[in-house]
Amino acid sequence: MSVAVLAAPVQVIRIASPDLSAGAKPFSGTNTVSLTHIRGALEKEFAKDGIKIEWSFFKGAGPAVNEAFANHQIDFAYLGDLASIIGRAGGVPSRLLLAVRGSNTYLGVPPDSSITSLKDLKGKRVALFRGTADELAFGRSLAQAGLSEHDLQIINLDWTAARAALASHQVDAAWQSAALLILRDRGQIKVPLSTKQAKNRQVTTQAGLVGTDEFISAHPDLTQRLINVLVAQAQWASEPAHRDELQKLLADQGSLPLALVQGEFDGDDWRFRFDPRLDDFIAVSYTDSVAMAKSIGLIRRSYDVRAWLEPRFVEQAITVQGSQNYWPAYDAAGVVSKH
Amino acid sequence: MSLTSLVATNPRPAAVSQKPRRRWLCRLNKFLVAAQAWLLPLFLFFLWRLAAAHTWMAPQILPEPSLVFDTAVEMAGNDLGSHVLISLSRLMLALVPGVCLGLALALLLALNRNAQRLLAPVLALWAQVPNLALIPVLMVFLGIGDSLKIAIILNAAVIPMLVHAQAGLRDVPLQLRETARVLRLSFWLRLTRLYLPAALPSIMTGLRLSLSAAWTSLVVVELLASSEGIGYLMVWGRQMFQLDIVFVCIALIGALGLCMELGLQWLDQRVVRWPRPVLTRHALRTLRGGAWPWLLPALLLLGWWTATRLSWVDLHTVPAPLAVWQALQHGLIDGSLSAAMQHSLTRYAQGLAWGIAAGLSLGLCCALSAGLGRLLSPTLGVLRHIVIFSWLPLLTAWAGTGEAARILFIAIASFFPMFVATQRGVLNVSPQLLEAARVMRLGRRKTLRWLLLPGAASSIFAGLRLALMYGWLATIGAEYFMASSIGIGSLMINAQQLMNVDVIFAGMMLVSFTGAALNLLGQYLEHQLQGWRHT
Repeated sequence: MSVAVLAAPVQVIRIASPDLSAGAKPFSGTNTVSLTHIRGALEKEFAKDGIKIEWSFFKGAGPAVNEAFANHQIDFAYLGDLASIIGRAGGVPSRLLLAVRGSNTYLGVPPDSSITSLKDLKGKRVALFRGTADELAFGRSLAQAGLSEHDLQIINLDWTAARAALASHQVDAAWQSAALLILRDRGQIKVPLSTKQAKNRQVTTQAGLVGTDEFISAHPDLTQRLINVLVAQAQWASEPAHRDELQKLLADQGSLPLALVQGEFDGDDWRFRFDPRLDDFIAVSYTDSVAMAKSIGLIRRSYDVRAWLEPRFVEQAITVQGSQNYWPAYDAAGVVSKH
Repeated sequence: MSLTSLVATNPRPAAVSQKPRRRWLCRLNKFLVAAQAWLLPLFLFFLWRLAAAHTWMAPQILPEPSLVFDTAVEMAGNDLGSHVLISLSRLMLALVPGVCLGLALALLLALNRNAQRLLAPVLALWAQVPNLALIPVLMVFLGIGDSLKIAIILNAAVIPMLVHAQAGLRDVPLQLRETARVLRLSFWLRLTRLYLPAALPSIMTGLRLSLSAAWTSLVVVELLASSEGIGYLMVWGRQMFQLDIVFVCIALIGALGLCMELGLQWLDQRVVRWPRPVLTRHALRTLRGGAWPWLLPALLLLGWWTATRLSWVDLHTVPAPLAVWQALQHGLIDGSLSAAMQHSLTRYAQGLAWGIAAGLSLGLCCALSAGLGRLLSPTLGVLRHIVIFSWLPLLTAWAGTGEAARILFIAIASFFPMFVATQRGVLNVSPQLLEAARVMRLGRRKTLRWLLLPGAASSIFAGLRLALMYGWLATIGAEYFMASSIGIGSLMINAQQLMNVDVIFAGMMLVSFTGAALNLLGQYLEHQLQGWRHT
């Protein structure tokens, strides 16, 4: 099999991603991969070799992307932490190549609610989409507040159903990603807290680009060029001067209100969000996620995260571009560490 | 003694006494006939083992039978039983009233012309409303508990019963109706001695399809605010990339479906004792004209307008009619709605063509060849209950993630009602006529052309109407469950993401009206091809 792959020249690189668009254009979210897709940077890089880039987008991504991986229908995918963990634990031979970090999750409550902190959630009905990255983020946030899921009544609802249930007062609160801010901007709910308030950035959701072992080992050169492009885009995005342009690009592509994209980034460490490295913070976060997923029964087998990470491409790209000192060193809590 | 038996006194040709055979030979023969039903499942099972052993497909997508078995044992040791009980109770709580409602509506429409004028257009529209879009609205009124789930399953179970019972009631021979009128039978007597018995074969077909529709929506519904039930387990298994759990659920739903199918067969043999009526001309003519059909829609529109105007409902959940109209106009002018619609319809037409062609031909083959029928129909009867959703991983493995998979999805959805209706329709053709054909030595082709197809037409068209409907629902579903693409379903999901209720409603209207138009098309086709019955 691998011999055949080696022999055949690559004509197309297949990349999958969740589709978070609210309009006609597919949209991968507020991250480096999305920016790369919007700007067609990979297409430009590989056009000279006649290699096409084939993007496929999935609504409710995790399961479909992992199935596509198992069916050998894609080479790379942008996935949230839990989805890629579920895939790897389920036997998809993959490696994590590049990180995107610090996506926030939010608590939404009705406008007349008295809930202001996580402690107030005791005994309340909270909508959460189980089996997604939200569950891990919520679990971590609860743990930091000294609570556990058993202290409240979790109602398993997908994102749109949860927003509908919250808007019609069927639940006391809902925990999910930035899409919740749409309701806040219309005055239908308020958002008393989110992962932004936590000092320890481990409560946020991490994500990354995952590639198949098969492709990486057969075409390390192409993989390196792909990561080079992504790292260059990450550096462009990390530059605070590009902030407005970036937010507008993302909002346009996703047909989302600009305020929603701004709300997601508001007050966050800009460079942290787009730091592509597979550093200690990422390793600790994914290791903890694997342990959590195992303990709540989301995966059957845990695995060694540090062996799963493949940082050499991203390190090489940073060296080639001379950006060794561009991103500060972050410690395991995601705070700039002083040496 | 039922009235229907006046038409023909000999229900089935009496068994011609054959040469005396030894009893065990007879038994062996019986056993062999029964065993045929197991040939296909056995073959599929060996194919599965072979495919898993040679890893023709990724083990994550097609797990080994032994792993599935182990998982089943492990799940049975945990709480599989309670999941099954919960699902079954939801199913029954919705199916029983749903079937009764469908039957009652069919009776009302068949027996009361004003009711037909009044309700038929609204029901035709209602049948097409995609559940997924309705959920936020229903949530306001029903909460997120079991009543929401049951309402959605019930809604799905009503339609097949309604369509088939309507077709059956329409086919009650005119002579019998006249006889009943001359005899001045009371309404109750007419109902229990004439209409119900005469329409019973169709009602049984409707019951079969209602059952599968209920199973299908059970899975969709258990996605919602649920942490128990087989549907939930199945979705959870897929989400956790543990497809062995999905396979256990498929097997379980298959087994339960088989039990129910056997129960229905038993019921069929017990209650349908009357001879198959010979098709005569239609007793009910299609009703046309007048303001009647517009009355109820107008009232509903008025109610909607008033409710939003006086803010009885939250405008964020139920938009004002005017806002929906504007969203519709806007979407048609800037081309977003029309382009989405065009993509969906193209996809639909292709999937439908495949599904109907396959359903019609296979249904016909299974009815004509007893051997093939025994070989295929039990397996297909079980597969029918298993939601297409659960095949998605396999479907995408074979057909990719692109357009082909979506078309296959639609084709499968429209295949089953077509298959069942065709097979049952042909099997329900009066045996006297068949005997007559045999006596007259009509060839196979002539029998098919002049007897079987016209005789089964009523059922086939009822199946076609359901196929049109399910194909359309699957078109919307395919855009929801598979890789995103342009289409009316995607458009509504996107609008849902931003909670743009006016766009959701505009899409819903467009989907319903398109569905209703397709339904009209089906009726028109039926009218044209059954012209001989309107003399």
